[in-house]
Amino acid sequence: MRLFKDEQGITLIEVILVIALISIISSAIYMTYTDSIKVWFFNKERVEIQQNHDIVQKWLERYIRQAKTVDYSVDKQLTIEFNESDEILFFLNNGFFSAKINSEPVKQISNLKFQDIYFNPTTDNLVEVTSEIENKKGTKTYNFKSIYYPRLLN
Amino acid sequence: MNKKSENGYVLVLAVVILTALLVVILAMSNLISADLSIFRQTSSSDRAFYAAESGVSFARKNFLSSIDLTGLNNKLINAEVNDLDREYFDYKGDLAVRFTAEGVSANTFRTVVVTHLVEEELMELTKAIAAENLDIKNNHIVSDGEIYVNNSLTGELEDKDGNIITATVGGEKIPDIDFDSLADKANNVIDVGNTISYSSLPTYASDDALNDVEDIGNEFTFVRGNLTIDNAINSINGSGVLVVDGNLFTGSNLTINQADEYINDYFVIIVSGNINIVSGETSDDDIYYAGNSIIYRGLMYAKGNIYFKNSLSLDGSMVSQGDITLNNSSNNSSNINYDPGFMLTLLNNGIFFNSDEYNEEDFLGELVEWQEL
Repeated sequence: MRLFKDEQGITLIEVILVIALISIISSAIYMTYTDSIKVWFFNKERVEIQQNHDIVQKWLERYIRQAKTVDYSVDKQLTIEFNESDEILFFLNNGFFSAKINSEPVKQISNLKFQDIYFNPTTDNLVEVTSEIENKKGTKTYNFKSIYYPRLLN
Repeated sequence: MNKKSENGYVLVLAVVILTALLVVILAMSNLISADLSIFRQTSSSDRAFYAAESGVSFARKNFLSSIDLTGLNNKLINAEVNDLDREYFDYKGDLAVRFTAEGVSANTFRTVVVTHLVEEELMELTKAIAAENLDIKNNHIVSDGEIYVNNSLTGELEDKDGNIITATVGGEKIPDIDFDSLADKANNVIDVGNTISYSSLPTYASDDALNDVEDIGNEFTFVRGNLTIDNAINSINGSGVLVVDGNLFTGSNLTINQADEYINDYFVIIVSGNINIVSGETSDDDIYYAGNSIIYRGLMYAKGNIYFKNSLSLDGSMVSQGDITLNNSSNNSSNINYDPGFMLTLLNNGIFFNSDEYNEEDFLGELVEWQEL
């Protein structure tokens, strides 16, 4: 009971001080949190873009290596003849990078949309592919340029 | 009562939190391991592909030699070349070689199939007939392909239209071959002393594949001493090789690869000899003696002379470091047609003429096929 009587209570200044401190600390925590969330999403987006580019690259390199003829005549399309008489067509189907082997149904390869893709022969007869991949929200594009070596054409 | 139940509550809370943490950790490790396995699969697939590709490069470098993968596989890390095949075949009329290499990394397999044309001219055997001297008696021989002599051509050769064919004289080399290396490559080396008859070869063969006289046509047989192809032997069929380190005699009317089912087979005969036996005469010249008439598809090569008593019909090539004598060409039906198909037989049996002057890779021509399976 004596203890209670001895208690002085809390002054207004003390309360204000505590509130100020708490708000400073919590805003710092909040900023760190939102920043890390931003970084996390940014990294996730980059990984997604990179994965899409990787899988597209896997397809392209495999068939370009085997190419007997490479046809650039249609804009934003690449037709490759391989093996005895097989043919594969790479193109953007509703923005998604897709492939069509002979008369099989179209295979969608990327799960992100491509804003654009260009196929061009280099002066050394290599195949240059320039692609612009959109992020999921469609707010940003990432550009890639790769050069492939058709083994049979050099 | 109250106090007791509160204590229990803390325990339950701890268990609940621990369980929740465990679930979260398990889920995360699941996600991570799934990601890892995708990554591992991709990277071992890449490793397997590059291993297969390096296998093909290795096979190119060792185009003429036997392929031993141990050295190559010792250099590869986390991957190896599982299987490497070399196959010679006819690619749209040209001689070609196909390398099939299978790479493996962590149970992921990738196969690369590569076909090159073979530079046929480097095989040196590009003439229908090549000899020191060529002596053509009696009737003309109708001929396709080039004729080469180091010294002189006696007699006349005509093409199908009746035009006279001139031979290239001098300036080139008649291919040479090392007989010791041939003995190393043969399936059977038969060394029984002096003269042996063709029909008795299976008796002396060590290889089970050579049971019957018929089998000789598909085997690589090396005979030390003289060989007589008996009169009773009328045909030899197959894509085999017969090497005689001595003289060869044949009986009359021998046909080689003339049956319909052997239309794509080329038989190779390679002979060296020290004694000349023509009608009982002997001299110091080397000799390869052919009997009455021969219809032949393949290659006939002799370090010594080649002598035909009567008619000859040849699809392939006939080469002698000595002299070639062709007698009757009976009613002009005899042909000499250059046909490089015999090179397939040579390659399949690892036989090369003058190959030491070149890098093995030089034999590889245009790349015509690249497949990834």
